[in-house]
Amino acid sequence: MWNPCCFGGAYWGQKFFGSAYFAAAYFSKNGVTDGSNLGSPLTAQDVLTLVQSDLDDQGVRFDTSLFLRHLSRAQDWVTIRYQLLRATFPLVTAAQVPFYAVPCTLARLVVVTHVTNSAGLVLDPVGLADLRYVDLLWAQTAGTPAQFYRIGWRYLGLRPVPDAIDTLRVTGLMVPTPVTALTDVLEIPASYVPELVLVVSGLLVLSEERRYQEGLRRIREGLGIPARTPQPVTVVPSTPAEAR
Amino acid sequence: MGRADILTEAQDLLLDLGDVAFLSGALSEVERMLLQRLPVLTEIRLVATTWAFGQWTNSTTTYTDATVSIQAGGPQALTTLTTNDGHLLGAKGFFEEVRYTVSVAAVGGTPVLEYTYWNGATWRTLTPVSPPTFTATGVQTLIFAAPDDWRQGTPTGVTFPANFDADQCWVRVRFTTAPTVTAPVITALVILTALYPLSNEVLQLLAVVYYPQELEPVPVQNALDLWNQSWPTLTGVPAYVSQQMDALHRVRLVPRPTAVGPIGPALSSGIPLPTDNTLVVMTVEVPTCDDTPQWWDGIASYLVAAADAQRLTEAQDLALAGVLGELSDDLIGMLRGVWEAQGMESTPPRFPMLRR
Repeated sequence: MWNPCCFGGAYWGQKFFGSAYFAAAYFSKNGVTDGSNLGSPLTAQDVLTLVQSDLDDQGVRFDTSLFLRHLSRAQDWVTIRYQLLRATFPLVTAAQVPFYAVPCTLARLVVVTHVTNSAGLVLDPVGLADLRYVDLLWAQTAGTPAQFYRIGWRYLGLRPVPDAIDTLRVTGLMVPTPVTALTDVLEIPASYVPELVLVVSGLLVLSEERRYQEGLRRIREGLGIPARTPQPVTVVPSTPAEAR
Repeated sequence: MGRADILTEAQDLLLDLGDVAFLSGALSEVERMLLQRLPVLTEIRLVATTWAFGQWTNSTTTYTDATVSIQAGGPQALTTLTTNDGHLLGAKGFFEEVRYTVSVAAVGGTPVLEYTYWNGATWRTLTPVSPPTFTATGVQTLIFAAPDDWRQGTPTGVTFPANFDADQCWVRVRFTTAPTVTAPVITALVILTALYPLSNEVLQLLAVVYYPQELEPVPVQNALDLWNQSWPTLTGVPAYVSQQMDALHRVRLVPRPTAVGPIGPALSSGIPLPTDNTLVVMTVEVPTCDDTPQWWDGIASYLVAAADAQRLTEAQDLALAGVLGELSDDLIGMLRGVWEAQGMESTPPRFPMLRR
């Protein structure tokens, strides 16, 4: 059973000594000593415990469903920020078909990063706006695809247009499946739990406690986004006399 | 994820005190603004560059399709000897010129024609710039300006053949005074369709392909007028496209195509197969359904909550609106960085984006 005081010390330890101290303190709970064994998978309950420990002194109260929604969203932002999750799925191509709707779990896809054909050839990404400069008939010129282009979030095109059936392997940056229960296992690496805790606690403090600036600060810290510095106002003299 | 989830998360941030009606109503505008900054929600639409022709029987309000016959050169009558009969012209876009090859001229009496178009609700009067003369043989041309309220759709009260695609832009030509001896007959018909409608949710064109060739995007005044002042009357294989994104959302093909291009069969790729002369339009478009990315819904919920907080006057609400706006800016910047790192252009260079 966690002693919140120990955990609180670990949290502040992270602030002063970096995430390694924090990670070491957390992993010691799971019996990790050399980093080769990440121990038991983290669940939403684990994160809830960490967040409650972190905020306990501040008396934040929230219900479980709200926490799970904020946790799901925090997972999304941390995953995107540090590009933690990728998935590869097949895409079957057909002869003379230039465009394809990306299959699989579309809602979780952020962007397609790599495409490989069945022979192991990695296709080069090209911009849609650049195709016309190479070949005005790019939507028809057939061959073995060597390039792919993204048409927004959900569509891929291949150039040349496939002249035969093939099964491509499409890899994309993903966000995790939303958590809906405290027993759900997180999909992001345990080493990013400190960042996740910061973002979740930031969302909770922002929404439940209405301490907006503190919430935003926590979220930015978790995502490694620097705070904006207010720009000084410069008065430009309008006449040489004023400039003196 | 979807609309309901966005609103739930927005209410989380508003302590369940948000105005439900306002949140729902603001969502579309929020998504439009978000899409202008993150233009990654796209659509690929195939448009058949086909047209339809058929006889109109006024007493039964029936359309009898004769498209295949007239495209094969088979003679077709433009009307009967019955008052108010005539013919219907349809296309998947807005046409402004129709060329009839009259082989048998109308004989008897003084035929009077009425031209109307379907505006989505009713048949409205269409005034030709240059009406055809069906009492003479040869090529007779109907020219008119496409009305602003002309809509693609299936006219109500008209009986179409079973399995007929009636979702078109329609013009009805009726002989309000019919010929008394001989009805005019044509052996060829050309409907020149240059304008194709876009959904009002479209913010920007990405690319337009008159299959198999991509069309060059050009503005009208600074390019087409300088290139050839007769461009509105040119016919042939389209090489240029211009977008119109004011109150009307349309694309214009130049020259006007004369060939037809149906859409191929639906495929497992999720997109029908384009065939020669099919129009392939790729757009940045505001989503109209719940098929949005999970991360998109998150940012949208922050912006919707900010909008609701913004409309209130309490200092605390304004502070919330400000913080949510900053958070959204941070996340949008983060996402743009991810895409740009993948080489995905965030703003296609050729077509301007609709901003309002």
